Amino acid sequence: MSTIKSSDEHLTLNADGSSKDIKFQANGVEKASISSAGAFTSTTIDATKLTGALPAISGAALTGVGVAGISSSADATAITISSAEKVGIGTTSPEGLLSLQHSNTTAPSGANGPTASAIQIHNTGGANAISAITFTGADHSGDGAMASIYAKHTNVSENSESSALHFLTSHNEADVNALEITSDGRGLSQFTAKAWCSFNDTTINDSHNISSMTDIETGMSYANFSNNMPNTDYAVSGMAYSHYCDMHGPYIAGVETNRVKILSLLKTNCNYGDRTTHIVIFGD
Amino acid sequence: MKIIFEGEKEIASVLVPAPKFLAQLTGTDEEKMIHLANKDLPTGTKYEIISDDVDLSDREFRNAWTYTAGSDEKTSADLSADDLAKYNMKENL
Repeated sequence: MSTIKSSDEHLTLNADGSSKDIKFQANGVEKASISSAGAFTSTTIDATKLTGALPAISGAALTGVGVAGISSSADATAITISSAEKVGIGTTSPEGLLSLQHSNTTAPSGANGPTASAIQIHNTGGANAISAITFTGADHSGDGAMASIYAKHTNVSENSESSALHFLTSHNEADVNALEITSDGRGLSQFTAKAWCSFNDTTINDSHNISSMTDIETGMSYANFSNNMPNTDYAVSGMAYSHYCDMHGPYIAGVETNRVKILSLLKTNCNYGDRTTHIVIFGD
Repeated sequence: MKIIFEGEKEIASVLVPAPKFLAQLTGTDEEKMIHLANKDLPTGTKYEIISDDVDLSDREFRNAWTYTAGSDEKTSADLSADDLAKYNMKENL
């Protein structure tokens, strides 16, 4: 048996001379060394034999550390898992199962959307890709209680990008498309106005989903929809007023999918022309 | 700008654009009005684009207004398939 040992005193191995290393060999092959700068190098380290605390070093200096599939370039704490097994991002004291904390007063807009957001879901699926958040309960293996919010990226062409937002609920185990907010800002549901308009004979004061008004004769106008109605079963409500004259109407004089005909007349012998008409339309 | 054309009962009609609709279109003001005419007028309708300076406030004889073709009369055309889809229109008027 080959041994080098001391008797009740330090054992000193000394590589004499500048930049000389201490080398350890087995059967003539170097297995480890301690450089003149003090760096220990070994072909392998048996982790089962390691005890004690690791030195405090920058995480940036660690590579290939951790679970396969996780990559980190962080040089400060980014994710905290508490003793209660709660995960915090941006917080070292997560209260929920997953807590995100940041400080921001900028609304997401255009190119700053991701950086102004606590969560960004980016779908690379091209046109009609869907980015969804889903809430489930009970039997959530496909037919349980479920509600979902998802964005549908209807156009991904440069300078024409468009996304719609959908709100999905479930009722008696069936999906309910409760609300869609279209990319151009319209609300499609049973409880959002499909169109509205405030107008007089020659001016549209303000409107929604109205492309134009057509003044066709005394008191009679068409409200032309920007986006057509799916059918003619929609409901129209309207009011009109004049500062100087009594009014007749407004009345519905005809409904089509692309327009509604409105009659609102000033009473006879009153031609001040200050009539203002308001209409609101709900439908499928 | 507005669009005038011969409407029902041979009475002149005035098409007034919604500012919010025009704002979402691209091109010159005239190009936007042409697009609006293609969308809201039946295909083949003869029309003219008039300035907002034209005074239409006196409506005492509104039903006697008639449309007379001017020097820059245009004709409404079909919308593209993409535009039809965008406006939820199944076919051109």
